[in-house]
Amino acid sequence: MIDVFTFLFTICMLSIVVNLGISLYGVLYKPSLIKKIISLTIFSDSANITAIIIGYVRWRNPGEIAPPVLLNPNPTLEDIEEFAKVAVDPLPQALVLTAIVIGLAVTLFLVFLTLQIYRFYGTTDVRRIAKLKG
Amino acid sequence: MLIASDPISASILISLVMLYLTLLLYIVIRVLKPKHSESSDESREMYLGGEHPSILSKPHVLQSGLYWAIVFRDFKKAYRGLVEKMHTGRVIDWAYYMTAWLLILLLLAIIALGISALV
Amino acid sequence: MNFASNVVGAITPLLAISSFSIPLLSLFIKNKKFYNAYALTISAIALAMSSWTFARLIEGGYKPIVYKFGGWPPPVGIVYEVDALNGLLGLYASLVMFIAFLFSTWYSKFIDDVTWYYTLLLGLETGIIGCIYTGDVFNLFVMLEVLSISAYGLAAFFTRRPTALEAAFKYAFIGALVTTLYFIATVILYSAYGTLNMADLLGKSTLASSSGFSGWLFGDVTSASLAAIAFTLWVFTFKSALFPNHFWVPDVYSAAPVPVIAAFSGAVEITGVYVVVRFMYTLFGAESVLALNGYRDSILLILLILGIASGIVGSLMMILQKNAYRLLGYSTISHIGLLYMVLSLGMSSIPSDVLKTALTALVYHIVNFGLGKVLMISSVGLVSTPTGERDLDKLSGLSRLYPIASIGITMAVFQLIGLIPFGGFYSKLLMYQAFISSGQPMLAVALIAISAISSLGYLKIFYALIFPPLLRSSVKEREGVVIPIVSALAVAVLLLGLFSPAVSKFIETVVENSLMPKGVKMYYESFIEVLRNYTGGG
Repeated sequence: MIDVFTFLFTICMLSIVVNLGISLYGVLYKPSLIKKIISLTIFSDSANITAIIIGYVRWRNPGEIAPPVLLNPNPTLEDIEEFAKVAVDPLPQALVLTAIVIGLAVTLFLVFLTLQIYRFYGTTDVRRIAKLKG
Repeated sequence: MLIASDPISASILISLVMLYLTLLLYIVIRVLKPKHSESSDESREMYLGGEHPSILSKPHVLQSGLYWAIVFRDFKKAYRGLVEKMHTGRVIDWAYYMTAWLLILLLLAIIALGISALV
Repeated sequence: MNFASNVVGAITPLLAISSFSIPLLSLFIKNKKFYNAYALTISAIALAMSSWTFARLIEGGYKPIVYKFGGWPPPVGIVYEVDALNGLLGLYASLVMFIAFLFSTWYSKFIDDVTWYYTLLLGLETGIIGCIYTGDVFNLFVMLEVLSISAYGLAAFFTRRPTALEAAFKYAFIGALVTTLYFIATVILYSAYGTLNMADLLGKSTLASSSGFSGWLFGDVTSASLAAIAFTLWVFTFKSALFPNHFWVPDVYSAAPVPVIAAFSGAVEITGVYVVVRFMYTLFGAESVLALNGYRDSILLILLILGIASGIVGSLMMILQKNAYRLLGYSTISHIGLLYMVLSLGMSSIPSDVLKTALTALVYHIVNFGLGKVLMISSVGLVSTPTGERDLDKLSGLSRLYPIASIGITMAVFQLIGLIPFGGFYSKLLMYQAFISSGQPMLAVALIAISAISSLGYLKIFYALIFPPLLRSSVKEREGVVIPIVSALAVAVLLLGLFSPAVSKFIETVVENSLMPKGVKMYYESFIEVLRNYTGGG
């Protein structure tokens, strides 16, 4: 019998994978440059959520959910051990922060490119932006 | 063995052979070279064959006409496929090839995992 | 040894800081010559540091040098780990970048705003050196992004030219997608292994029956490795322009500034090849979990097939081109195909001495191809830049104005086709030997066919630039610094061939100490040693 936690978690992971697939399709096959940018942000956000979820469930068994708060201001060794049991893995969050900052820079650059391409080509349809071929 | 096994003497030997062949080719070309003939207007027109007369002012064949026979006759089909199907310059056309390669990689991974799950 | 590791750690921060301080400096200093000298000095320092590092590596018997960022020990903190292959390719890449900067001092006459150009080019060098030296999978992602963003910016550098914008958008959209995919690959690796350090991953992936770090639902080490390597290979075949992912190369080449083209074909794509080699031979070698049910063998086989396809498509498309740089882009694709053909000889059925020959040929051909290509691009750049034309028909005969360019183009064509006294011949000979002794003579036939077809394409440049008489009177630009660049590179490619026994012997030692089992063991042992020093010595 599948418990509720596993069930919900599986649904969550599945929807993320579907999201990744749809946005991959959007970036590669949608002709409009604006829609490509939107798909790309959805893609990188789905990737970030994957990372966060991995940090969440990584070290512990399902079921024991408690807020990772340290009550004692001067913690003893036992307190820290207890804390480490309920805390999430902080490393994926650091990874996600880095990825978000980089994603912002890339998105800005792409928006600039789209604007400039619209000025020169008069369209954002990639099927008509094909001067370089062969 | 005729060609020495170490690369230095092999390269010296092959260089000498190539030099000899070049010399031979040069002599043959010199001997067989036709006498310079004057060209009349008629012959010039026949040479033109539908090309624009401006190509006559060019002292040599343009590089775009260099491999005409290869591109438009011998490998015509291959080039039509390469240019009209693959290198169209449209990102959407590229994406089919790129995703196919990604799908091959993922499919192989799934097959490998599936085999280990079955066995 | 400690000082050596500090030098390794200092290269990328130095490059990054000096890159980002250029926009600040541009508020006060407007002189173009200052920025030429500034960027050239920084890249010369980087070159000196990387060559010093490599000298220390040779001195220490190729024992890998580890630098811990912030003093954190390896599995926790980010490390740079430089072994023989890393060190050699880092030296090579910084040499190529130095030549690109040197060429830029001449090229800067023809561009208006030199500050952003140098900011981006120094950023590109940061990314390249970072990608090559890093010993951490996530740091590789960060450095890949640094490299990529600089590369997009440089591809779109001429923002007033529609073709440059088009090329940059084609490169940047797929590039952004691809780097995010690599981020997912690192996350998958972390979820299964609980580590991002390369040496740690190597140890854990080799211990296939590993327990203790298998988690819940994500914990399956095997499936995680397979998925991660599938994504990673797709990403780095895009960066290195292997056949189905090669489409961006000719477009970017036909519109980017000339020194940037040299940096792209000499360093950026080689970085992609390096990362694939690192993943397939160090992280997930023949004894790792990746060998499950022949997965590693089958993807190596597919890389081999794609390498052949890349070589043939690249050289066939060369025949068709009108734009000089677009032609050189397809020639890069064809050479990358050759590199992938030879790097995929690591299947389990192939004996290890054949693999050693193959990898020696790989590294030797990287150096030969890169230097020959940079020589070719700087010679063609000397001819084409003053006119502003890139069409071969419009450039016809112009190289008669610049004798040094004619010499350079001739030498580079010989090097890239692989004629006898040049280095290109000897690396192709090594490849040929590897293919023959692996029992696949068809591969050797393919190598010869690719070289033969691509020689037609190179002859086109020859025919367009050197043979025809000069038609219109053109203003001759002063060659300046291009003369020493071209003559030094021409001598270098000749020496690479003349001393080929010594060079290939040296590269064989490098390969033995980095990619063969002995070198992989050393890579892991120096990680363990750093870890033990930390836990033991406090």
